[in-house]
Amino acid sequence: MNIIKGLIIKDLLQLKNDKKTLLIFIVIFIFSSLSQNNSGNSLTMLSFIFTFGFGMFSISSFNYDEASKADRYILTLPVTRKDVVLAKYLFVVGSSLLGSVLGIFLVVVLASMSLLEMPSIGELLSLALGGLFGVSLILAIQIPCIFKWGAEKGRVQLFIVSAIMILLCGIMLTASKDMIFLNSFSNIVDILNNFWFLILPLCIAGIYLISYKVSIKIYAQKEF
Amino acid sequence: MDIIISNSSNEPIYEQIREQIKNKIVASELSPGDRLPSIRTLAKDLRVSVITTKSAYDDLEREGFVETIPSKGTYVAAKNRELLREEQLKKIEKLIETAVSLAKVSLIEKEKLDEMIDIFYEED
Amino acid sequence: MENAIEVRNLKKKYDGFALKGINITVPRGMIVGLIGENGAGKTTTIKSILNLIKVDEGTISIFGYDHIEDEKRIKDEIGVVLDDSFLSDYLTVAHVDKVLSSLYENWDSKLFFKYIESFKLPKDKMIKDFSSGMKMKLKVLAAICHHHKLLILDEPTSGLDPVARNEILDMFQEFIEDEENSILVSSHITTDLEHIADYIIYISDGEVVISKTKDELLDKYGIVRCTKDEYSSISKDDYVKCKKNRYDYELLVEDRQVFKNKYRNLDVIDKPTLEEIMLIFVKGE
Repeated sequence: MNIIKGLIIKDLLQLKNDKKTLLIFIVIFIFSSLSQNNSGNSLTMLSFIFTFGFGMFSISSFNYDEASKADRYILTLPVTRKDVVLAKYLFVVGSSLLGSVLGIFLVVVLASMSLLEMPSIGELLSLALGGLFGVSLILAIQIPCIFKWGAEKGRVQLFIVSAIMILLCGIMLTASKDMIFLNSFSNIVDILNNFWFLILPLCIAGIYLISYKVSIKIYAQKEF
Repeated sequence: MDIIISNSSNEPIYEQIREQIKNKIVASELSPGDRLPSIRTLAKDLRVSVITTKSAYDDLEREGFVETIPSKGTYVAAKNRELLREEQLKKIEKLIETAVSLAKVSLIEKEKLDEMIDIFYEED
Repeated sequence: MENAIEVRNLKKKYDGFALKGINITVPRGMIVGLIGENGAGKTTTIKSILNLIKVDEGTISIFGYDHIEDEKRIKDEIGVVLDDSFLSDYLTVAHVDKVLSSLYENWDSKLFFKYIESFKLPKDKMIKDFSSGMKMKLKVLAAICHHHKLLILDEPTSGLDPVARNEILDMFQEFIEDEENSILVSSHITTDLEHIADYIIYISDGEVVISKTKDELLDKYGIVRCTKDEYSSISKDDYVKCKKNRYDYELLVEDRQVFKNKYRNLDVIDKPTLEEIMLIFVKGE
């Protein structure tokens, strides 16, 4: 556990270099969401932007590693390749979670200062989980791509992989629509409507689990 | 203890170390029972490899100048004076032999040689 | 357990380059220097030992443990310096201490900062702003300060000025003062190894061509310089390699004393330097 902690501390300390950018980012988004005058849209945006922003910030730890060629050195320390992958996932997932919580917190604070309309708890939760789901989908695709092709070189590949995933989802969705129609469509919608707060976290966990397994496979094969 | 090493000399470094330690024993700079630095410390201080200092110490031990007591260190051996004297005498013998044969070839008489030896002795 | 590292018949094939059955032994308590031209296979060998790349064939053991099966245990016991890679360039010395203290079981912060102070390394400056000498000193310190028994270093002195190089060599010799400790160090700056290495392993084109104690190489081997006519009188069995220059021939011989006794008419026989040995090997035939 100490080892994972050490690796995460390293990523955190590196990100200290970005704290100014992060602060500016937060301020800009608070103001921009305030200037949109209480529309429900701005709320979604604020929570989503925070989750997304924190996730992306944590991803930049890959760029730092790449610039220092750190992987090669880190693997000479008493860590396994699995440790390295796990630490990255914990760091990135943790960061986006933190972003999500912070986003919600800000919405509540702003609302209590009556700068925004106070949303209901259900609304808040759906905002948070929805944002987290979207961001997780992006990160879960992005991380294995970075492990495979690198943070700098992997951009094109990331784009291609994302396009393929979206296409696949589209096909599956259209295909499943017909299926759902055949088997009581309304039933599933009901379930989704009533249990989204359970289903979404499960989906997020599932997505990350698959992504993590793929990353471990990729990283184990890599030569440095 | 001064040890001066020449890297450009044709003489192997371990021999340079060995000879210089020997000379110090002859000159009584080192006396029986004195402790020598460990091979690793000496290697570090002289900026040479451990094998080099080890070869030098091994030679000195084989020739009876030093004794190594396991896990304690290397010490100047007690009986070395006599031994050294003998060795030095042999060296001198050889040098005199060369000098005499050279003198004979050049028809220089023995008295002249004695005179020269006297002069060298008185020099210091 | 006598040997710190044993590499047996290591093979690794790349496009246009291959390690062709490398054998390396690092005896306990010794400094083994790996020399060779750039691209000869030094770094590939070191990466194989560290399991950073997969080998095609051969066995590697460190302190008797398999380098893959017991990887984690081994890596707690070794300190590594890689030429172009470090924990992070975007941290400070104080950060490095924090991170390494949770990664190494026996990390010694006190010792680390003692050295940091004696080398006058800044504690709160970003590593990326260090000079290359400062950075290398930090890397070596990071490798030394967790009380282990083996150092593996890839080109630790390249790009450094003589003063910094000397300070780093001092650190190695201080480390090796403990007879349990061993070092495997690669360098193309052969003068460094000429001083401190106990064994020299010369790798050329993916093969070990010389593996001897350094004293044997420097005290026995010789370089004969002669004319073309003199060269033609020398038997092929009496030299290892010959390099033909415009004005003279340079021969590498295994025992300069023996050679001298056999060919009394040849009088230019020099004590070699590692660099000369390498040059004759690469350019000679």
